[in-house]
Amino acid sequence: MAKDTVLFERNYIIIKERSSQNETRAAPLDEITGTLTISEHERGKFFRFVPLGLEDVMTDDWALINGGHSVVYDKQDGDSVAVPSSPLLKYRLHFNLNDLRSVRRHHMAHGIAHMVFILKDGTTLPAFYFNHGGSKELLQKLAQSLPLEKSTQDTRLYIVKDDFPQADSSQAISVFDQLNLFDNSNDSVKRSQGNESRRTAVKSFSRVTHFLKDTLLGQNDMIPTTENFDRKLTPDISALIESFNSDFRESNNDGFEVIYKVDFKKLPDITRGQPLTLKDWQMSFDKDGRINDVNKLKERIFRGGLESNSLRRDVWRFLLNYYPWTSTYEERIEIVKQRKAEYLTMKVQWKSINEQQKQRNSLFRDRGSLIDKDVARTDRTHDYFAGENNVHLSILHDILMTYNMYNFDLGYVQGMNDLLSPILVTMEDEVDSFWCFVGLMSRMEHNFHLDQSHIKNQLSNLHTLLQFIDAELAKYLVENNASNMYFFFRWMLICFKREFSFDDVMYLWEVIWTDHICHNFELLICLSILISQKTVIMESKFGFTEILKFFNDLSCNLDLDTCLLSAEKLYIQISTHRDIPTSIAKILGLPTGPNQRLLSTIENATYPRKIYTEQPRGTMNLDSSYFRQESCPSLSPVQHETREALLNDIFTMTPVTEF
Amino acid sequence: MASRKKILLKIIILGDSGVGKTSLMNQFVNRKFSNQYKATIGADFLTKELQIDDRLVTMQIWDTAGQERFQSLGVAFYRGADCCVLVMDVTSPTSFKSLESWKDEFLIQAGPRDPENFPFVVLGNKIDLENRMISMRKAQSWCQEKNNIPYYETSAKEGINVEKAFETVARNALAREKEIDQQTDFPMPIRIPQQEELPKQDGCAC
Repeated sequence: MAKDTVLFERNYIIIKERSSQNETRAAPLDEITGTLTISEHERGKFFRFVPLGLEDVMTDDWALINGGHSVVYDKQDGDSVAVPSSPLLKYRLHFNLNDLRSVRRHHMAHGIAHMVFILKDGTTLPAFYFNHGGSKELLQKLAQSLPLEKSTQDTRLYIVKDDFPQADSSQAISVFDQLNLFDNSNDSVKRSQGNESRRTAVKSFSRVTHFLKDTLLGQNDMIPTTENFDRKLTPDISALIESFNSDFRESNNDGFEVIYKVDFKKLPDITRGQPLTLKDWQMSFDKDGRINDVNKLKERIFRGGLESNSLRRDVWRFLLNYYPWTSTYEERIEIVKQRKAEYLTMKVQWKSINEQQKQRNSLFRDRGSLIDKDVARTDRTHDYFAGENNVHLSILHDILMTYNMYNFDLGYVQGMNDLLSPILVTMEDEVDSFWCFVGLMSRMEHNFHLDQSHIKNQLSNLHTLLQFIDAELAKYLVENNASNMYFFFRWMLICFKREFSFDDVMYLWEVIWTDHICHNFELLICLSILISQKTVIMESKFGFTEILKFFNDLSCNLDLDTCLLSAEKLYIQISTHRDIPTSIAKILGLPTGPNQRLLSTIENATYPRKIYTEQPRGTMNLDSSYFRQESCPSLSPVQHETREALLNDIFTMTPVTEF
Repeated sequence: MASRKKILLKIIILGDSGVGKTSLMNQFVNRKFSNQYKATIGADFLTKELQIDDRLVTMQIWDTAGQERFQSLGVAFYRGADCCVLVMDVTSPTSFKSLESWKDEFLIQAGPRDPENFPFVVLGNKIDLENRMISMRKAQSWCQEKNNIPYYETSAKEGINVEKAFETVARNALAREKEIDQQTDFPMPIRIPQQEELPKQDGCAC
């Protein structure tokens, strides 16, 4: 340590932590204060963050780790060492500056800035808040050591430009040869210059007869600066253009027009609504207990979710098809009675299988043991499932075992436990939870089938949609072997269960379950998040591996309402498009053909505000209603400021908690 | 160091659900153990740099889901692997039996060159538990039959043998050296033909 030359040092740097996935969004964020240094060492230049109070734990030799979290490495002992345990240890962050890919500096309210560092493998560090200034100096220091370049697309983003693989023509490229659109001989051309390909793409896209006005990109944005553009074009460029053309034709074989690029800021201004209240709900019934206007109710839930868990206990039964929407009070009492008896019958079936039978039934045995293993690791940081011998875990177990009897062909597949857990937390009743789970599984069970064809199909639908709404990004993913979209596998399989806080997941699910505006709304949510991160992905030249890491690290850092708004904007953009391709309409369950009906549907929809505002294009309405502040009365003024400061971003930069 | 070529080793951890794949990865990379890991869905990786003799290598360790039906996604994750770590739980005979199919499945999906000599390392995890069902001798003899795969008995919980096992992983992967620029975004190896290092007869150190 003595040999280090300190290039930059700043105390009182803060990381804001949402302490676990299970905290509600209104819960105050923990703040971890520490010291940030850049120092030069014989092995290179290093970035370090040490939480206050952990300075003593530091030894002379840090492990060179960039797994997002750092540990002490003791050379003397080859094996694992018990480091004094402190919850702060995971905030000791450390990386070699050579591993840095990009840094984003956000200006916040009251001049407070925060910075987000993303490493070359896609690892994203928690945001560092500079309450006492210093972010600019840090950026300057970084610029002295690294070739930082400001992104042309996002003025807050700085990319380390020195060493993109295309600079090295000997670099091997393709992980998935079959997805490679180009002969290997073209590789060096293909990789020669991102800006060139962008320009080439514009050329080939001149075939596009119509761009949506709102998304049309100013020509100036497309022309690379001469500084970046003076690389020599090789003779192979014509082959390259041809490849782009054929690629383009492929995605355009219906003859439809594609949207080259999405800019959320230029999309119509819409807002989220207020959650449905208990009072609203109670007023929705007629005297027999039938719901008066199901569509209106669903729209209300789509716009704002449900007010409380006790309301969820009632409404989810309808959303999950346990109660038909048209049922009366009396019918529902009858349903509950019947379902209870059915459940108990099935439960008795597996409960009465004795040890000898189990010995001869390996399928049953294996499923049971898998359920045991997964139940023990289901949301254990949530209060409801915490602690030893938690009774709720045995209920979780029994429901999953009974579902195995209910749907033996499917049985138990990992991830079902994640889907059941919020239902049980909401229902707090074994039988009701089971039947709601059955309803959810009838929506989701395709994801769990043995051949995985449905989920692969959904991932491929994602790319099809992307080709239509952001052809530029879709093409980038193809070129970088990421068009299989496998980085969204977890998001799709368990419907974002691991990507948001527990409360947010419940809110998100009820929104999706309404099927209010279209089918497969979850695909639009994925795409809105993907597109919001487009600049970082493309300018960092991330490939499949880095994108996967990057999105895994986004887990629990996303602001749900912003995601939902963006997804709805995408929907509006697609559904109001003059000529929706059949493939796209099919995925979203939209009518095909001339789009008269849809336009009128949208105009008549009871959006809280006009879809198209009088505002000048290009200014995003940073209305505070983008966030459900009203539903978070416990926020302190400081937190309000923080929230507002984060309005510029689709995701709040709070660090991920590890489990 | 900046001038020196950095070596990226891609390591895949496979094994039945619940044998401790995530725990082993976290114990090795972050030196911590938690009872609260969730079942892995999809895939994730952590990276760790370490020095092997005079070479600085980056290990990119991939953790995957253990349930069989998710393996069809493996092809996206296994490609370009330099070593595969097969994990079983010494208290679970089923997980021991599965090693064979994990190994075969890996070779099919990853499609490495020279599959006969592709480096595997087998870990018998959870030796801190009392109800062991698979003896060290049994595991070792299986490994010997399979072209002398190195075998380690580990406890991710207690941190026993984890570092040592992964060092062997790194060394054996290094034998199939994959030299790429430290800047690469595309972990595709340029393979330098090299004599496969003979796996050592590694026993348990405890």
